[in-house]
Amino acid sequence: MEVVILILKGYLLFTIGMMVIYSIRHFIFTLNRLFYEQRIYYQDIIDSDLKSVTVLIPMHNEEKVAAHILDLLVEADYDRDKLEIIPINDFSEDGTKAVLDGYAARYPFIKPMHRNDGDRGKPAALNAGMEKASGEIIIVFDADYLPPKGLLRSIAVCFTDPEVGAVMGRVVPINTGKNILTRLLDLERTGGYQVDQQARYNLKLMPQYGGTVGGFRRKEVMELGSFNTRILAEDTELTYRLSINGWKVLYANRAECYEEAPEEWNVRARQIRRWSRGHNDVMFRYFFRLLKARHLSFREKFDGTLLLLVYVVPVILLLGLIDSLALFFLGEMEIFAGFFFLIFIGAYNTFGNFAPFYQVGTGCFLDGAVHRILLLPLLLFNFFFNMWHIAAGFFDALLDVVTQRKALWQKTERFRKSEPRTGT
Amino acid sequence: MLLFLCTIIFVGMFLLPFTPAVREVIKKEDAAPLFINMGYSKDPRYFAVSFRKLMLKAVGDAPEGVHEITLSKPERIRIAGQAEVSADSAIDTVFYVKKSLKSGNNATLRKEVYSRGDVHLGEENMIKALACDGKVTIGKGASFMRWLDAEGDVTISEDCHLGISATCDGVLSVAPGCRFMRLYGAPVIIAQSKITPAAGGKPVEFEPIANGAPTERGISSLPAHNVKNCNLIAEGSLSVGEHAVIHGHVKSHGKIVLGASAVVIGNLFAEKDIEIGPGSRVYGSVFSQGSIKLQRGVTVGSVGRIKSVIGKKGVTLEHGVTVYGYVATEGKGLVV
Amino acid sequence: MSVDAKSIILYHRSYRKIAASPRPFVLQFFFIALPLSLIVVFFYPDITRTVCLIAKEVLSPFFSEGSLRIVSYPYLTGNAHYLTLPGKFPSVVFSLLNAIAGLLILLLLPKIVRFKPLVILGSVVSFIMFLSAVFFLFLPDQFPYQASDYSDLYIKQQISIWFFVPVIMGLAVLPLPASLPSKVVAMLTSFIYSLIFGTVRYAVFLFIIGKISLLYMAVLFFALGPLVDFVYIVGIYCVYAARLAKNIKGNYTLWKWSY
Repeated sequence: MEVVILILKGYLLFTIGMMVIYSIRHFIFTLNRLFYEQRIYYQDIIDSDLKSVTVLIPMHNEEKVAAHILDLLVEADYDRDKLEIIPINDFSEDGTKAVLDGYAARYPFIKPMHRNDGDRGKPAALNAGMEKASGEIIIVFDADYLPPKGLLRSIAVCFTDPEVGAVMGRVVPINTGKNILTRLLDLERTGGYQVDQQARYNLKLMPQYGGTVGGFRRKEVMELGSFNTRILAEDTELTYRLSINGWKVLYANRAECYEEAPEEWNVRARQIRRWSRGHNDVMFRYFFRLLKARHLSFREKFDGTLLLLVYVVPVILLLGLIDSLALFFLGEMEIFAGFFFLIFIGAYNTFGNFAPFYQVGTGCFLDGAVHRILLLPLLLFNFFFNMWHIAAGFFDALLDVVTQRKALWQKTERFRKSEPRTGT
Repeated sequence: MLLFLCTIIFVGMFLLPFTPAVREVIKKEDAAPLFINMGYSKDPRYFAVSFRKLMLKAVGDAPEGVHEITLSKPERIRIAGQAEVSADSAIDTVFYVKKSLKSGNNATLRKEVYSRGDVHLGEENMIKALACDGKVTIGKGASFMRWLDAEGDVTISEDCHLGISATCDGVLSVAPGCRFMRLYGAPVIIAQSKITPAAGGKPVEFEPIANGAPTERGISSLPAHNVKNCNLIAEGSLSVGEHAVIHGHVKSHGKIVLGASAVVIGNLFAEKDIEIGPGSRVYGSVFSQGSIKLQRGVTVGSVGRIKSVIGKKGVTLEHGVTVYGYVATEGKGLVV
Repeated sequence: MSVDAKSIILYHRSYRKIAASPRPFVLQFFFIALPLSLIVVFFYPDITRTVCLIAKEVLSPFFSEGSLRIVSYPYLTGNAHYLTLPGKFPSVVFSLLNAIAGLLILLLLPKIVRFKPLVILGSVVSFIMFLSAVFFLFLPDQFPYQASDYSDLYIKQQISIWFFVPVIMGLAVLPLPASLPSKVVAMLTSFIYSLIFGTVRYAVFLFIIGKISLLYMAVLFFALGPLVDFVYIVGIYCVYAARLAKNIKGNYTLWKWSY
């Protein structure tokens, strides 16, 4: 029993330590973003020799939104001789095919791909798209995204740097005002992109390729094995695979694009559980490979490890709370009463993107926002919600690893009913 | 009673922090998505292009004289055919000139100017912004608050302050002593004001760098007269000797120093400063998170191609430098 | 016409940063935040004694003469004080009723409440209540705490909360580009808020433990304990930051771009 109590106490200290480490990390990011030199992206480069680009847009039952993104992409400011757009109709059962074929008939550079056999899901669709693609650079959008005119150019320009393997832009929710959930997700995005990703880019750590509003080198990724269709978080996996092989992943804070955030909590729950499952799957696969990587500096490895564990921390915290409950009923809380408070530093971290309240507040401040900063206390409601669903995702991933079962891809439900209102 | 009060205070203090949030959820004062300009695409001549559109729409067929128009806000505009602004005088209105414009020394043009013909500005002029559909020559010591743009060639004399951008669709010739933030021309040439810029040449053909070209890592120096046919990635600084040739892109996590007459058939990227020695040639773009110094006679880019020189903290251009395309800095842009 | 007057660029948010050095923040942290924390370090004996006196005054109408006593004991560098009081041990029926209620809430809450985060939050609270009720049902003699033990735990926890509130608020507020007096006000507000909140919560929770049931001790400690302190920390921060953001809107001299 003594040993059990010792283990429980040790674990609680470990949990508190993890919360403090992540809080310090995010505080450093916040200070860096506010005060220190910002490493600019390459968006100012004007170059007449940009590489050829293939835009891949995986679509599964996207008849509601398909036309919107294609209408914007046909207006893109990119040399038509160097651009092709491949919407990938992935086992759709609605009118997606008809929409895409209509665009293909009008625009020769739009070349839909219709998939009805093989593996389903985004990674498999992207692999199929890459096989068909002719562009040197692949740019990926999810179907609900709304790219501005100059975005393709902004993303493609960084590949004039020989060290860049992938780039990620900034995602901005367009349906912010829909309900409390979308407002909280908007805050999460702000903290995650405006501060977290940019600070990681400034500090030459490991910005994350997020799977949409981003691009990568087609040939090099195919040589590295393309996307693993067993992994739900193909974007995270690409980030680590490229980084370990000596490529850099950039973050382009100026390359902004609208997205549609989930509008219902159960949709959000499924989304975050999937992210957690996929991310933790990558964590299991890459934890030791990261530590042994030759091309990465110590701080890239250190922060890369913290990034890998980002969807484990809520599990650690959940177990820590259960642990503290156990210690409580065993009468052993005495020694921890003074430090127990620190475990709740995690309360205002939106898990996954892991942005503490001061980081989100800073992001809003930098964006010139005013009243949305007042919503920060509502992030408390995300605490248990995120912790629960992320923990569920972690155990899904654990089971995937133990039983070698294959994860089935699940698409995020769309809510858009009409033409989106953008900032033109 | 005290307990009741304590309970009220406790509940009140617990709920109070939520009230601004609840108020914002209900009132939605800041619920709109962050603004993204959906029509934005990087264009070095952006200010002038949008200004011209606004002006032509506002002016229409209005006759010469002073009128009230609306640009981004209501403005008074003077419309003239041929115009000459006397020395030491000032124009306080937006100025639309249907033919050519000439100004004497120490003239002040306090609002935007749009000339459909050529423009010749005297010495020590102060101008807010100038769009010109013809050629522009600018006398010594002129100051632009915002921008300058021309469809034709632009020749800028010594010691001018070029505001936020100086751009043209022809040759942009800039004399020593000028300060700038952005330059764009085909090409941008650093020359004495009375010297005719070099005529354009034929496009230079060379093998494009293939995707998947080999990369050499860990390099820190390349001796003089050496040739490399690969991309180079330096973990620290990189020093390239005189007359060395690199057929590939170069990336350094430190500084890059190119010796005299070096040739890079590719792009140069550095996390710190870049210094390019006299007579060197870079066929690609040059980008630095620090400063860039192009010594005399350096050429960046080639005819028929647009490349960029972007130095976040500063760009210094010496005499005889030619850049086919765009030069930009958020720090000090100097012509020496 | 000044050349500089309109030569500013409206910096896009992507690489905008504060046109100030972070060094003042370090000084401010040492001269504003840490002193507030040090007040707790040096004066926690007096603070805890005052809190106990207030709680005793509030609770005395509900407890018999002599059952409420302020105890002083060595803790860290001085003496901490807590209030001893008799607890209300739950009966079997009471425990059973709470266990059933906890279970019912767990099962019915997802069906009644649509706001998922509230469902999960409520579920966590009712799970802790259920756990506590089951403990008292099956292992009543094993429950390791008396009401006075809770009182002691609370005070220890509260001392650390009072210590850390200025630290956390300092880290959040002091980097912002605001005037020093306004930062001092924000810091003092949060500190005083934590003192008052900790005191009233102490009195209310001791009443619950002493007069309603010890069964709720776990719920009070976990669900309504330190987690709730973060609510007002974040609340004060966001009001301050939003007001600052509003005041500086259009003040271009505040920003630099990229370096």
